[in-house]
Amino acid sequence: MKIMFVMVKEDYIDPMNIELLSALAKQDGHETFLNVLEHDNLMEEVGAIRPDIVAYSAKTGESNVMYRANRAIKAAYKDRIFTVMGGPHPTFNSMRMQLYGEDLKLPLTFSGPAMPRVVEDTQLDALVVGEGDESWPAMLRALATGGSLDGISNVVTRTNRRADGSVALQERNMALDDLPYLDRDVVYGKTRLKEFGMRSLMAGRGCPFPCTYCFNAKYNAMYKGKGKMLNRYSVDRLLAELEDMVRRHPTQFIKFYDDVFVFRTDDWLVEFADKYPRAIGLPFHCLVRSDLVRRDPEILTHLKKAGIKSISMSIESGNPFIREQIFKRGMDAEDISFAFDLCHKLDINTFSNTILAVPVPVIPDPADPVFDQKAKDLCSHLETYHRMNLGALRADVDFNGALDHAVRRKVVDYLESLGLRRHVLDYDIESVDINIQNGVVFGEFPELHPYPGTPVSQYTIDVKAFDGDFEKLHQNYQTESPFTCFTPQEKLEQVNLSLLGLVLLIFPSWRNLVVNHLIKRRWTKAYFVMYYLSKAYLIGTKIYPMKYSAGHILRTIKESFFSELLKHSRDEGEKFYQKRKGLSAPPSEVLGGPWQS
Amino acid sequence: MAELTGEFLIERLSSRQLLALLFVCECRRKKTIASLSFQGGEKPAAWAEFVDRFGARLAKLPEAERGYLIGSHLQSAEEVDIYSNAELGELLDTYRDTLALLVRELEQDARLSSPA
Repeated sequence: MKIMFVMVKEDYIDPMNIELLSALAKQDGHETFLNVLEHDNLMEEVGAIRPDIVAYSAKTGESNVMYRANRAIKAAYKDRIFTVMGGPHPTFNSMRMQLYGEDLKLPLTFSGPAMPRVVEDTQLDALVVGEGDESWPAMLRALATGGSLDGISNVVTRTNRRADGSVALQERNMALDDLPYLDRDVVYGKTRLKEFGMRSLMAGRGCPFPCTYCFNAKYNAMYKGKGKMLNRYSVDRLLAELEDMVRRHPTQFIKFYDDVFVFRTDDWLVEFADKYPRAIGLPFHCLVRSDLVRRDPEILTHLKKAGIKSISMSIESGNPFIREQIFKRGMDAEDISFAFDLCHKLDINTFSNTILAVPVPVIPDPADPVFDQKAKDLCSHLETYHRMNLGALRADVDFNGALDHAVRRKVVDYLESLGLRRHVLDYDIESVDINIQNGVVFGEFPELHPYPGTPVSQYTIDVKAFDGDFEKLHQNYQTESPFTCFTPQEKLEQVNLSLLGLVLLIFPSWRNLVVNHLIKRRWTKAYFVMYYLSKAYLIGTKIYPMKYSAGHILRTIKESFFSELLKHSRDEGEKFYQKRKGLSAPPSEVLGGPWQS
Repeated sequence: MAELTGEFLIERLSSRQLLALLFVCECRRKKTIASLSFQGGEKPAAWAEFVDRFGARLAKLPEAERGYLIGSHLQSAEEVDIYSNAELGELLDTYRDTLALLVRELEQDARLSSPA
């Protein structure tokens, strides 16, 4: 059979999802193709190739674009082309995705009261939920032989869908060594990744930590009791694939994209540190957690021996209340400081993500005439929602009587000791500060965006900062905050700080100028240029250093500048669709347009 | 995690039991479990350091979240499949006495009594 994968746009990271699915399909003798909506004409290519199957792997946000593409294909080809979607969006949203020709009569009860009761008209024939390692080849075999898909684990069809939304899931794949090498050819033939010197790969799968902005907590709950959570390639299998990749594709740098590359010093890490330099010998980047490094500092020693150049250790928030009570990171400032210090000592360049614009309560002003009521409400919220024990404060302060200035001061001090702050921007400035204090080499400061399946999304709904309509979300998280709890001025300052935060990592002495003055100005475009130059410099020289010809550098600068510009633009949907040739739908204010269209 | 009913053994353990188990697993990995001794009222330095490290992190968390976080470390750094009742049951049986002693120690630690 002929299978066409559709992706929305290319990036500098390998789309390993498509590369694995393509490899699995080719293993069974199928032909695979790729269409990149960003620059390919979808309908012309579908017409020329006449695929039997069109497959999408969707994240929330880009799913809208894929629905539109799918509706165009279905309008033209109806049942002659089978269409299927997998990836995070259907994994966490399958309940409310209407399949092709389906009269969806499901009880629309979702987790949050504010969750919109909408069903996405996808025009897809099937969904794949969770891991597709076994279900994808099984599905292809069934389609090739005219068999039914209804008994295949992880696959949702019109006829096997359950009323309660549950999906029969296969056990986790614990034998990663049996997987074929990623099929990079299907992607490199159509994208600039062929020329790019950095190649991405994952050494394993799974993350057990409960960070609330990540899908892993819900994913792990879905897979509870279905096999070991953490699974890795053997070192020899990993290196064999890397050797094959380096031989076939020009490679200067390797990015291991695992959520957490190593959790401890174990036989695997020791073997990797011993064999990687001899077998591959290229500089690499990976992600770890600060608390794990503090618990087992030898992790970094082994990675250094292996030849690590740069490392990601996300801070996520410099504020302890956000870090612990909202993000559930399970690490403290000492963990962060220890791990970054050790990286500096070992000459490993550091990369950290820190999330800004988190809806979070603020401490009322002691001079506020309604301070007493606001403080009482805030304490109730902390006790009931966050289940914090404020017994020490309650023992000292009677909120049922009027509070004098000294008591108000005591309340403020107590709340500050819990990590609460008096102004929204104080939290974000604290987050930038911790990056500066720890000498983070390169840092991104995206603003929080809610995604289905993440506990923090439910939190933002619960505190009435977000109405739960994920369909209106922008594809990128580097645009203005979607939360209604922030004023326009606060949103401006958040955007400006998200850009200038990186600049401060190069010029920390500008900190007061930036936080006291520059973020308040409407000079965002100028800040974007400063951000871009800082990013290009740090990424190119410190984080993923590679050598290129002058022509390639100029081309990359041009492409990456516009790519970054789109990422930070609210108008990406407009600009994106101005390039569409095969899709007749008009441009809209939302990437992919309203889902109803 | 704090619930006492559940299909999985892990869901019937308190955060103190889980923390004790995490320490035992760490000692097992570092091959120091045999030399662990609380005799004469002396607390091993490794235990004091371990409780300091985790006490600070867990102090502000509710019971269920403490359990989840400790479970994350058990699954990752110690490579325990916490949803395998057989594997977990064997660990609990093997180190029953040590775990009981450690849990008693934790019950006297104010940091782990109730959040914040």
